[in-house]
Amino acid sequence: MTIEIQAVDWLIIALYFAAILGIGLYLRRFARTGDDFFLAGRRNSSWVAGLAFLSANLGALEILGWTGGTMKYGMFVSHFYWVGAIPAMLFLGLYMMPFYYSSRIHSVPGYLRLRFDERTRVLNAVSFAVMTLLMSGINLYLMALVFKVLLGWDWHVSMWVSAGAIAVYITLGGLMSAIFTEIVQFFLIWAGLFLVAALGIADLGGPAALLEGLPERMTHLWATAGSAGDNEMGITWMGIALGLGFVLSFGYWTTDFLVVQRAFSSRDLRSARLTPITASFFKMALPVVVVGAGLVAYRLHAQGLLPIPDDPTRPGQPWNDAALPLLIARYYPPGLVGLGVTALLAGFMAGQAGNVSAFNTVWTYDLYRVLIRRDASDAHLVWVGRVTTVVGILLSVATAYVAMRFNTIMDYIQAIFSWVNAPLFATMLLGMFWRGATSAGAFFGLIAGMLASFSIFLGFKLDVFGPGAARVLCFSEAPSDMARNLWQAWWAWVVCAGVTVAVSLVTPRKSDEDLRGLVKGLTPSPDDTRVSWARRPVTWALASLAVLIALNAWFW
Amino acid sequence: MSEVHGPSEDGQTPLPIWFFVGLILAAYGAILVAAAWLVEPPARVVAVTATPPGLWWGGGMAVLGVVFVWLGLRGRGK
Repeated sequence: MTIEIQAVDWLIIALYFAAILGIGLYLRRFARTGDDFFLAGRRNSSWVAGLAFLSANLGALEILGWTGGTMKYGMFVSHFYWVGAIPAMLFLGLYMMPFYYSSRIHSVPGYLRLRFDERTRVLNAVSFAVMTLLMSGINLYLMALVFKVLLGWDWHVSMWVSAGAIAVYITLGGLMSAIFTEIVQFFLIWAGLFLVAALGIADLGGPAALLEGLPERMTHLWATAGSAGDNEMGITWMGIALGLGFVLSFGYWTTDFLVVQRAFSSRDLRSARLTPITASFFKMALPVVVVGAGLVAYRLHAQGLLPIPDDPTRPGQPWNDAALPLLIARYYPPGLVGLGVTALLAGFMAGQAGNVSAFNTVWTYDLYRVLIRRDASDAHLVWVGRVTTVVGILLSVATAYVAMRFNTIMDYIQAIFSWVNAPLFATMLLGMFWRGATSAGAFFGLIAGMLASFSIFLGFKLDVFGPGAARVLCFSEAPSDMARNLWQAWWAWVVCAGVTVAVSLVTPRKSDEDLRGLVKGLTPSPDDTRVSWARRPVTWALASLAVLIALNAWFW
Repeated sequence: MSEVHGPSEDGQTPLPIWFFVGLILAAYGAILVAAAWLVEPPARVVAVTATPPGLWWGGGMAVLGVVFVWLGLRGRGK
């Protein structure tokens, strides 16, 4: 089963490649210093940084995965866009950004160096670099898989052409190129994919008719979260609130350098604080595309109008991730097919470019300059950044080939996400809001949290943990993979926080003078009173929160 | 929407991202409108609206693209 691509579709795809390579070439002359190359010159408005912040997270993997996920979990998928994202984004903007931005660091590990010590920075930099490269490789592999199965494109051509294009434009323009292409991707995704959800909903008779034809378990956010058996995800409201809404969400949105780097590129503190707040409004709108298309696919599939193929990596299981491309094939005429495919292509490529631009910064500033050449000049670091981009891309391609041969490795690689981010959030939270957190506490807490997360993952993966352990760890004897993942993040956070506090109580802490500008109580609060209320971050954060509450109440 | 980037060290100012977004949307919009006129949709396509979607969606994208190009050019001078 392949989707037919006509000449006009190829024209649209070719135009996309011409545009991103042209933008890279054009921006080359503006990427001369380290700040230019790694932080886009710290000159972006909150609109630009905000859209890039969102787009860095908005990869095609997420869109395809959650559209398919909606066919399984129903409206519960919206939790990942609403309670599982918005509070963390607002918290980052209002409370954490002043510490990040005011310390003029280049990366999140850079903050760990200032607040704690070099070993904590290196531990986090190494784990982040490995995670980023592996994720980039997986992204590349899955892109080639989707295009191979659905469009009949050759594996090797898909991977090398997209990886080559990314290498060219990031090497030329650095983060600025990545941000420009991420914003282009944002508009392409809305232009190319919103219509498929809209046409599908219209085809089924409108939004009310769509919802009326769905099972009760799929149409609520909280009403079916009282017991794990009442919803398809197999999780309670507590798991959603603690695992997703608190640990995983805050761990990702407030500490993952891939997204936070976009806020660092803002031109001033107010813009940096507004970056995630601006992004939050667009984040809340995404379920229109993702969940909308997923519910349409579920209805059509139930009526026998949308046959779902077998998963190429798990024979015998339905490949729900193919739902969105299949809807494109059903509703889009030539031209629009090209736009839809370009939107997915842009999503894959921008996701990979985001990983590579974050990797080159962390490698250059937190590993190369710390472990290899401490006296490197600014020009030398820019050169290292460019070389690292090419090396990072090649390592991603190598990872993709490994995943192609041994695709069960993907389960492990994707789990790395919660090994790294969940405990790091505990370290950051204690570091920013408690003066008593010590360097030794942070280092050993981080290691303990990562080990706890890894052990729980392996315990379930290798069937060491049975129903009894599942009841203790996940409050359910048969939790879904998703529920396990959320609870695993929670326990990693608890262990990291517990060990950090315990070790900090018996080890020496830094003086207040050393912590100035890095910890609450020793950092001046941002003074918003000089700008009108309409331009204050807190005003927009409250507006965002009101929309979030309204959406949750509406779909309760 | 204000400018994307201020001047670089030698005083050069990059064109705002809105300009590039506008160019791409306008070009894609024009191609979609032309395709809706010229290319017959294959039998697999389920027609939901009376007017081909490429026509009104592409038209909307083209108009939006022109607005973004104008915003981008206007923002550069500020």
